[in-house]
Amino acid sequence: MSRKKRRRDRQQKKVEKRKKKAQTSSRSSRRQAVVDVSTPSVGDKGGADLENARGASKLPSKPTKKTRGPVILKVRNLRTDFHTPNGVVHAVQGMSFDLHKGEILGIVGESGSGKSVTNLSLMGLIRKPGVVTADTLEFDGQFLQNLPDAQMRKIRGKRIAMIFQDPMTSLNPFLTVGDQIAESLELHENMSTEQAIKKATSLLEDVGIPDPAGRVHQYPHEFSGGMRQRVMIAMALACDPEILIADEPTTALDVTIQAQILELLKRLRDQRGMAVILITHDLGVVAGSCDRVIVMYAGRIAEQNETRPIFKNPGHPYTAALLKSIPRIDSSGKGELHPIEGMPPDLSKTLVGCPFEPRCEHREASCKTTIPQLQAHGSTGLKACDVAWNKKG
Amino acid sequence: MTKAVKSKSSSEVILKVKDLNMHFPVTAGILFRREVGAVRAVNGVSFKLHKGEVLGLVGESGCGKSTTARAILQLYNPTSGSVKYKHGENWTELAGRSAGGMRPLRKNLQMIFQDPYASLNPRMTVGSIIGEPLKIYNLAEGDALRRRVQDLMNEVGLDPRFIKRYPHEFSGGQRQRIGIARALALDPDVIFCDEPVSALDVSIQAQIINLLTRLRRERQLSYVFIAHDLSVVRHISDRVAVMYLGKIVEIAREKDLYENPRHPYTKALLSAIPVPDPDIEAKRERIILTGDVPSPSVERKGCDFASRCPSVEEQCYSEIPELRRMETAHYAACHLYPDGAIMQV
Repeated sequence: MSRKKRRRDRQQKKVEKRKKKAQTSSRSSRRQAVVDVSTPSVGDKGGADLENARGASKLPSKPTKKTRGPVILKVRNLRTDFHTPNGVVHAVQGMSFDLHKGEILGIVGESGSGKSVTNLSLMGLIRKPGVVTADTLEFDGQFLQNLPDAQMRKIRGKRIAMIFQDPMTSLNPFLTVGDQIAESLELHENMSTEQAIKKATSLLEDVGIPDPAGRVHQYPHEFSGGMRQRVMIAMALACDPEILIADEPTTALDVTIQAQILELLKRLRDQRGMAVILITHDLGVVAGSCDRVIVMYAGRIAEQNETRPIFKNPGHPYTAALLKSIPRIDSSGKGELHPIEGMPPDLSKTLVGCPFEPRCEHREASCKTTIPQLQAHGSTGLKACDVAWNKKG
Repeated sequence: MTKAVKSKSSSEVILKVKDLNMHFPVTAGILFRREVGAVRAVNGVSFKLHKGEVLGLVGESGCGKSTTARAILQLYNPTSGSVKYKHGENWTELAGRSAGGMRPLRKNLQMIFQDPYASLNPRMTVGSIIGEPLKIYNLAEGDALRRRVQDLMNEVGLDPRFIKRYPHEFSGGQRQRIGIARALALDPDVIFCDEPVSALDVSIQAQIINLLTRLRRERQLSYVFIAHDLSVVRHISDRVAVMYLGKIVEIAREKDLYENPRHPYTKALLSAIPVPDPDIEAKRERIILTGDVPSPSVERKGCDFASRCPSVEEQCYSEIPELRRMETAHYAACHLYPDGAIMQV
């Protein structure tokens, strides 16, 4: 216990030192701040200081349990603010995480927790009044922040692709699905229309659409919801991306179709070795599909860990409360559910304590006044909670 | 701690639905409109609802769950079939009643809607939304009305001081509470809950489920609980009916249905639902159905599920299976089980 405390003190001192350093160096040129990961310039407001947390707890940088691929996407202190007439909404407040090649990383959280905004920020799809800042957004050696639009376009859709939630509205009703898949092939791979349509046909076959040669010339309205989502996936896969971001890919679909799509994503990951970010609010989907999980609350990482410990030994009271609040198909328990009382906080207010404090059943007096930093939990996880509420942890 | 809140429903039947059909015509032609077909949204649904019972109605989108509820309540005019409601001591036929003819019965049969954003009038205060049914039926006015509304708000967990506020000032969960208070205002016997929690976040969803469970216990309400989330339905229901393409394919007590499903569709549906436990997920065998739900506008001679069924036989394409008895209160419509007695309503 005391060792832990000393460690935390040391950590805090380090952070303070850095803050001073950052202030005195009076806004070193942006580029520099970008390259030098170890000096996060805006690490104050509870920005999830991943490096620091890991270093302090002597964690191996790569958990050894599963052999994971190299880091393909490195995100440090990502912040997205929306400047609205009613004040600034801090939608993402310092996200830091790594994405490894060949893994499925789940991001879970309730609506408004910043899951989607995080990924739109990564893709450079946030427009005014949104402002994205980050210390590092490194994709395969390239820094994505401040990248000119023209260069970002070469990555977006080609090397990082995205599937959206609603397959009904994400396809253009005026173009055949073949044309829509071919578009990115013609643009990114310089294929002729004929070649591109041929490739589109084989992609439709890959995602399990029967009679692809006939279907490629059909319009979106001729496809069902599940089939349209397959078309979206085929579109995203067209240029063989290294990262696939799937934003609630099955939320609009029925469960039997959801099972088909999740199976497909897993198969494609295995075949192509791509990394997948799976955004969802369904903890069941996470348990069945993801290798690693980030739990978000109010624009921050509440907890991050491999999938099994997230469920078996959660580090953050929010994760535990979420798990307790959902009814399960495999138990006839007629007891009362344990809802999380209250509402998520207003993201336009400046945070002074733990954002979950008002709803937390393990809160202590200090939670109101200190913003918890990410710290080690178990051998593989990180949690943003200062209270030793979980005996196992 | 977790105490059993599942109250035993009585054996008294309060609602009987028999062979309910709701076919929406498909027309063609501009000058001379003629019917060229029909979408069979509800295609021969029969069930009984007991007093104080929660009957879950599950199925995928487009299977006719909501249309069934609306046809029972005569919000649509059902094509054929009978809906009998026990009003006092007498059985009253609802099917074919006009809007005026339904009005005295609407007091007893209420509905809670899915979308708490669209089902509340943005120009009315909470007080007038909840109080409107009381006004229409001349049950209260003035101070008495306000007190009744405040009592209702208290009952569903809303602060009565908010009586003058407008719906946009409330969150999704609170709005659903407003909808529930409105449904309770006339002290109904049966409430049709049409996906009451699917628009809500999980942490809020649990609050509403607990509220519905408590109200049901305190007021001896019967619910027809429509949802596509089978975990939620299992939690709240006494009996569950599974629908596929406008038909009930299996109906049973909650425990029997979830632990011993008979119909291949129920089996596939249950196996497709992810469990929030990675260890169980790793071990589970999933029945992945191929293909999509066929069109409801085509009339089939056989079982509707035949095109996707893993245990399909020749007979399935030529003969429509009927709901047959598997065990006590457990019926399934599948040719795999040809021996049980046909369900009677």
